Amino acid sequence: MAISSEEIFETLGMIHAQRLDIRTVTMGVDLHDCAGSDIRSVARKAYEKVMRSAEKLVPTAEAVAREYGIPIVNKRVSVTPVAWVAAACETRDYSPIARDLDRAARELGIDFIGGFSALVQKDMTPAGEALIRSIPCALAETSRLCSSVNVGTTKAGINMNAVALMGQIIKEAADLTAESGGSACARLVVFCNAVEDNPFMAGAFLGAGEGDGGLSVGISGPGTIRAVVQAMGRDLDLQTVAEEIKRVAFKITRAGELVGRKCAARLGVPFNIIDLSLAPTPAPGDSVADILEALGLDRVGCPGTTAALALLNDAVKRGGAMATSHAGGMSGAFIPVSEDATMARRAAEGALTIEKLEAMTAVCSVGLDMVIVPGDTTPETISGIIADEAAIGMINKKTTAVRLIPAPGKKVGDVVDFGGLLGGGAVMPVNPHSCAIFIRRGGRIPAPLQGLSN
Amino acid sequence: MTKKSKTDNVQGTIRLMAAQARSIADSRRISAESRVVIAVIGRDKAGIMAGVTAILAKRNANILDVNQTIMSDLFTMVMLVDIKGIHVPFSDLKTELEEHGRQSDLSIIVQHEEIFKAMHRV
Repeated sequence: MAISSEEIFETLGMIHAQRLDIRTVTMGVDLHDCAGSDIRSVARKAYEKVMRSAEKLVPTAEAVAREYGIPIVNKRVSVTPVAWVAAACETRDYSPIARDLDRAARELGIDFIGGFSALVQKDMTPAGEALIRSIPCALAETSRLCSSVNVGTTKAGINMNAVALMGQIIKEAADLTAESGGSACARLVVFCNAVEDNPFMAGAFLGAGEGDGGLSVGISGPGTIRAVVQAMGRDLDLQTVAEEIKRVAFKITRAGELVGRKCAARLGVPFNIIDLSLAPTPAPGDSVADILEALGLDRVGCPGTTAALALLNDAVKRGGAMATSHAGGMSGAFIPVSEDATMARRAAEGALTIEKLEAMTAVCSVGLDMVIVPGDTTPETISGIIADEAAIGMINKKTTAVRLIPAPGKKVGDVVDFGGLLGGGAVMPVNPHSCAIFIRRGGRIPAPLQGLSN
Repeated sequence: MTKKSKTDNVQGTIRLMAAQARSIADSRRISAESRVVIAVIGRDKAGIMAGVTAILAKRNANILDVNQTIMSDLFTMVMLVDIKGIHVPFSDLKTELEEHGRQSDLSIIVQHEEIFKAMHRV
């Protein structure tokens, strides 16, 4: 059947008026073969491999975006967790690898490179711990490198020693980049149930079973969904609303899959997965909070917010899952506060609190994301927040994450701006009561009964 | 005719039909790659269609379908064009059309047809 003019103008409206775009094409680069005992040679081999593998990523993505008329906002690379690649190195400071990966990203014109990562959900190897302790310097000395640490899974429980350590690491990373509001923390995420094929930053890395990587796609499109919800008016019931969201999610996903497949074919690499996530940006209208408010909430954060988000998240998955057989990554709505202009405004107004955000993360991907907290928040309190999020992920068999920025010297209500896709916003209040004794106990929270699924 | 040769005939016919279906599918796949949608939007005036079609003719692009209407003084046109025979790279033709749009105060958008098929057909 031929495509009608209405359908063509619908697509053009989505792209040109509602900011439909492909958030990212992310290429996986396996670095296992770069391992060795001399850190300088490991760093050089990693640099050369990224340069070789991703040489054509940016020009190819730009050509495909132009020919198909749909913007690709970011080009990214995810690599093997550096804790594995550097394990044989004699030194414990892994920042030379960080610097060389960052240099490769800069020279290739790649927006972010992810994988300065360690998986320590049950216990830390010496290399895992060395990587974690290298994070503050690694992030402070780079601008495109992203780092992630997995501290828990449903199968393993939560490594509370790692949780306690991450509280300190986040504080150190913030202090080293105090002049930019602690911006290093915007490139550092702490996971429970991390996924190994995630194309989104800061949490992208290439897992052990992912082969040589291939190309993954992260879709976007909150503006498109908001437009549809708004056009439906206030009287339609929620089944009808969910159905409409599902339809749009299908279309968005199909566009993403086509673009991903074309890029992969031209690069001569396998197409890996498409991540069905609604990723907002600070641009006006490109907001997940706007969709929730269009559903009938006065201000995001009010009662009903969690339910509305649950509806949205599921409808997006349904439409997306029909549109592709290779869904992966996070696949859900994102709620990064500083990256979503309306979310940031509601947080500044006090309508949206950290506690409400925590509840929201139980029904969507991914977690407490891009939340700016006061500079005097203690490491133990940050660890407590991480532990709470990890517990939600562990019990509900889902990915949760924490990306907190304790902005040095800033107090509740002060405004911090990170620029670009990372956005900015006001410092949010944190519950002042202490969980220090609980965090200092260390050890492991045992895997829950839910983990015994065999 | 023996029973065996009858079966052979049937199987031969089935094979032939399968081959034909494959070749139709192949030709569709190729043509999907070479078909582009050109959307033109702007204030209505004389010569809009002539301007666009002159560029297409010069580059040997073959117009397959045109749909044009005026909506409250706004000229809208959607064209389906086969670019198999064009003498320049697709990106050059796209740039030329977009440049023509800018000069004539029109919005001209050129995209592969596949993106629309992907989004609107299950």
